[in-house]
Amino acid sequence: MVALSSYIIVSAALLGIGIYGLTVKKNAMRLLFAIEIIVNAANLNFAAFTRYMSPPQVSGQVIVFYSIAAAAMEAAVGLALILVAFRLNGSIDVRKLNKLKG
Amino acid sequence: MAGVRWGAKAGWLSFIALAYSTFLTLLAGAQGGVQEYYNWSPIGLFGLKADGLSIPILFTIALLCTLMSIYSIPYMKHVIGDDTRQFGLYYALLTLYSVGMMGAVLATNLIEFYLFFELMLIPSYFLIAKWGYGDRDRISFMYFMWTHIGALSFLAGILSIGYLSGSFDLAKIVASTIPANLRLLIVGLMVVGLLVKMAAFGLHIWLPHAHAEAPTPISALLSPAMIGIGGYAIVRLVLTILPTAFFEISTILSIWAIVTMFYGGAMALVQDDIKRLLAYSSVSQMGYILLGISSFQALGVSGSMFQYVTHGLGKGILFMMAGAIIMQAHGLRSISKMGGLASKMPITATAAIIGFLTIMGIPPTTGFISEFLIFAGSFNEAFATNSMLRIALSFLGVVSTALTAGYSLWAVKRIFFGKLPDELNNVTEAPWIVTAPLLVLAAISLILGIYPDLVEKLLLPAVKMILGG
Amino acid sequence: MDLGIPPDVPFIILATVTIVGAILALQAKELIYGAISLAISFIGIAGFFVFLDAPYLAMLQIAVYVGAVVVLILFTIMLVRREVVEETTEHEEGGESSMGLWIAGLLAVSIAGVAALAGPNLPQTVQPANLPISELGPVLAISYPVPLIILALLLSAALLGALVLAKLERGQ
Repeated sequence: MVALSSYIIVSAALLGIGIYGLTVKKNAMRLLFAIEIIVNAANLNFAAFTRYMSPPQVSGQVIVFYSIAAAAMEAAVGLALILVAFRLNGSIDVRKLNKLKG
Repeated sequence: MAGVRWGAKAGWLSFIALAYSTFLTLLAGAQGGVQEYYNWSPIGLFGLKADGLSIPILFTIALLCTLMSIYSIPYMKHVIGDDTRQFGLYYALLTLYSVGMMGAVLATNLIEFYLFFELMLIPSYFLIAKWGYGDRDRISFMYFMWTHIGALSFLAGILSIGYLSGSFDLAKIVASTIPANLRLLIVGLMVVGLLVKMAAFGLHIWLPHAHAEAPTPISALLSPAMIGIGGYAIVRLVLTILPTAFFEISTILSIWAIVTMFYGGAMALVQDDIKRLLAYSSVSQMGYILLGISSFQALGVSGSMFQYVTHGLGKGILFMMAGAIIMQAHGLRSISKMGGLASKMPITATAAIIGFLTIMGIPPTTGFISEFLIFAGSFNEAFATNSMLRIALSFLGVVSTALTAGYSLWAVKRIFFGKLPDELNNVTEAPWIVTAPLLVLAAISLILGIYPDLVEKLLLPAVKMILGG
Repeated sequence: MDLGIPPDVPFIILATVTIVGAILALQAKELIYGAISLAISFIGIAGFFVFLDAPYLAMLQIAVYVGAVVVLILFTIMLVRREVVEETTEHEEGGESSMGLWIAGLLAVSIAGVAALAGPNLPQTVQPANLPISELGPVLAISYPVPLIILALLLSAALLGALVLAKLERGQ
């Protein structure tokens, strides 16, 4: 059995990777990957903490359940948006998708 | 000699020595405190006491000195050039300066404290005089005279205490009594002397010049580490010995603190030279420390000691950032000529932003914890004594954090973001010896900001003991 | 300052797979390789859920993430085909966003540092868990009914949104 802090460290590493992807990358698909990685890091954190409580709770798993569902929906809508943006602009480079800029 | 043989690399020698000291401090912290006493002379025992109160302070000082000794390696090369003899002298003075500061924090005997207090002064005077910028002879002399006269006032207080209570050792003084009519005078003398060191408003004239014109690694030690020792001394020496008399002047000190905070913040807002801006910012931060101490509550006082750590980390980062920019952009210090540096120096920019966030008091940096504690103590005291004045002062204190946020964010925008002027097109990131200390301090600021208990579990009991007793 | 009980080998292997998968998902030259690497990372997370006595979550993770989200991503990548060819010439030239690496690094290091330093204060071992899947349903319906209903509404909204967007580009 592993101590709780190991799970937190893995979760923190994933969070860092996700934030790096979100801030540095210019391809809209990569940004979506990064968002999914961040959400997964948070899910892992929830599941770990709820297991290590005394007594172990099931409420953390319910939260993860909601989180997975919500993130899947958001990925679907995001992908639809990327598709439409690509059809209209010919590129998914976020530096070029600035038609709404004032 | 090491300087002649190795040139700038002599810095590694002092780095090893100082790193060992930092390691010892951490060990002491894990153990919960270490004390040593030696028989000195009829004056009393020469004691070195690292307890809950002094360990965080000591750790900040040791860490900063260690990092500055390797930060100096490329920086002094930039300032001195190739005259290898000067390097040895520089590092010897730097190490001596570190000894002075660490000894002052560990002292248990009033005379011993005064000795180390003055010991800090001499190497820093030489460091500014030999390698500073601008009108360094005059400025270093002004720094010396101001701080020395303040220390003399402090000495007058110490000698009277020693005479009246028969000993200079802190433990013995607490047990004895001092005639009540003289207490206020003694407290006044000691506090004023220490306030010169802390650069409270009116006694601060030396600070902007000294910190701006000192060589940057020394600025990074002068400002974060040394001036806070005045605050530490007030807690360790004055609060322990004469709490009731201190309580009588604490309202005046609160007012003085607020004035200092506003003055420092306002002056920082209009500066163009980056090091002078940081110097005035230090004045403002010392005001925070003074406000926390004068609140006379466990939360407030431990908050101001935590603010010492915060300011040490944050200002250390910021002065190192200023030095990195000066090094990489060949002497550039004027903010109006900077812009868009984030694209050229990303590591420096990231660390600098975290440094400014620490000074502003934004979670998850340590600044949030320390400011919260200081204001909690201040408000607690205001409600405990039902004093309208104190409530007003506490509100004003919170307002002045807006000033801090103002000059910090504006400086960040003007230095790092925006358009890159053409002259700065060839700027590259600083070498790793410079960026590594920056990142270490930034990481520690974040870690302590998320989990301050590492320091608080040492500070809070010690402060409660001082105030309760 | 320790990690408590040191992590055993299966944990380390799984952690490596997950983290390396995440890094490759962002750094791989071709988008499709990135998507597959992301799927492997998701399977790693599912493995963690199994370690944490949450088999239902593991199955949910694989069914929803690997089975649906990654498949959708692959479809979208194939539909923006032109961009995939240009993928290899995408430069993130410095710019201010290069700070992102260091910000992310500092954040991850500090959180990990706090976890390591606070290690002794956190639970080291687990109590034997009795979390049968049959307990999940009642908690969902009884303790958290509002999020359940909101989730249902969100699902319909997402569905409608995707349909509208599809109509949009068809109309274009």
